[in-house]
Amino acid sequence: MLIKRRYPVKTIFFATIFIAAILAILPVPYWFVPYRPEWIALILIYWSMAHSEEINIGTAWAIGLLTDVLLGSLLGLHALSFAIIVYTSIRFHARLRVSSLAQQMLFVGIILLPYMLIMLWVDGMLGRKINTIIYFTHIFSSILIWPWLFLFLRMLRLKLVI
Amino acid sequence: MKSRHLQASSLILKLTFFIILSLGIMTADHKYQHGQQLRKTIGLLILPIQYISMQPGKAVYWIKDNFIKHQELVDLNKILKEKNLFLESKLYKLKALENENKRILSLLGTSKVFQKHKVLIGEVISINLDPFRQQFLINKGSKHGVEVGQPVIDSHGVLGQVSSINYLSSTVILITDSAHSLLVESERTGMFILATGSGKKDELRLQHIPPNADLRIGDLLITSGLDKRYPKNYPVAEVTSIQYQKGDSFAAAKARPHGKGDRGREILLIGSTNDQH
Repeated sequence: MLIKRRYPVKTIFFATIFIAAILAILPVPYWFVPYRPEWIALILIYWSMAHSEEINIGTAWAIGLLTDVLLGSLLGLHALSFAIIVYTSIRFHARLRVSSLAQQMLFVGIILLPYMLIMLWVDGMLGRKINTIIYFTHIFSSILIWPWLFLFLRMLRLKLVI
Repeated sequence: MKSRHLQASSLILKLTFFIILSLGIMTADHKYQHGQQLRKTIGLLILPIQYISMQPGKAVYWIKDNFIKHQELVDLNKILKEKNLFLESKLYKLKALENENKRILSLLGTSKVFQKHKVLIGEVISINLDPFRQQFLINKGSKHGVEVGQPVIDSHGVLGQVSSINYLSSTVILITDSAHSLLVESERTGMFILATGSGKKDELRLQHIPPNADLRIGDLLITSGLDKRYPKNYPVAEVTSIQYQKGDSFAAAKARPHGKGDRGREILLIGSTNDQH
């Protein structure tokens, strides 16, 4: 049974990525910076769950490269992380879909962990000393915001019949 | 089932490929500088995102600027006005100091001429003490070792000599005063001329000029040193007019002093030389 879609999924997908990117570099008060959720990663996880056939690792990798330029990090760092994140999400998307929100939060935390570990590893290799608590606050706030993001995007999808 | 299996393995393949690609790019960006070019190209795509994320901050500032309270503006205006007044007065003082500095420097340049003599810098206090006399008051007196008869000059020419001294000030009689005469020399010809003050500002009378004397308008007259008063070879005046009427024994010539007199402020007092008293 094919549901007629009013908007192409790809457009909505890129639109949400666009907004996530803006949120990622939006100027915020300095005390808020460690608590910024990983918007782009979260959006990627969501779309991998919802439309695993539309999104693929290549797209995620390219978005990762764009994120590297956006954030000024080492080229390929976020590309690598996003490729891994999307791989994991697509692989387990069926299981994720049917989990409760709380369980999803746990999964999100587990998925984001390699992401952070890779960043930590690369920072270590480059010899940069960064306050390591920041990594954990990032994951923490990302997990916290997941339910809201999930519900919001699902509502969006229902409205737009995607 | 089969497709799923295929999908899973192709997924892993894709992942491995991209992992290796990413590691390659990371190394290239870190070790070499290839990354810069790629960054610039991709950066073009990023522009709209960056532009939009700047807007909220800009909007906040815009609101802040446009809705600033009236009272704040009034207060700010008052503070700025006070500051402006203060700064303006400082500026005038600065200009005055600059000019004084220039004059003192030029005076000091003059003092090199009098290396054997002791030199003292003074300032004119007031002018025209007696309207019929050409004299002024300076701020150096017996306390500073001023003596009657000391020559007073400025950087342009001879002014006069000290006529009377007080403790902290002295009266200087100008060469243009009718009671004053000095012997000058024409720089061009070496002719000695007696220059007497006319009583009028900026006018000296040159006495006893023979009718056929070699004197022209514009000739520079310098101190001769013969009066043992003024140091030698210092500019005094410039000849302004020569008139001769047939039948007179002498020609009437006038000269204009170079010294700025009452128009300057700093003056030099030439002391006695170090090897004579």
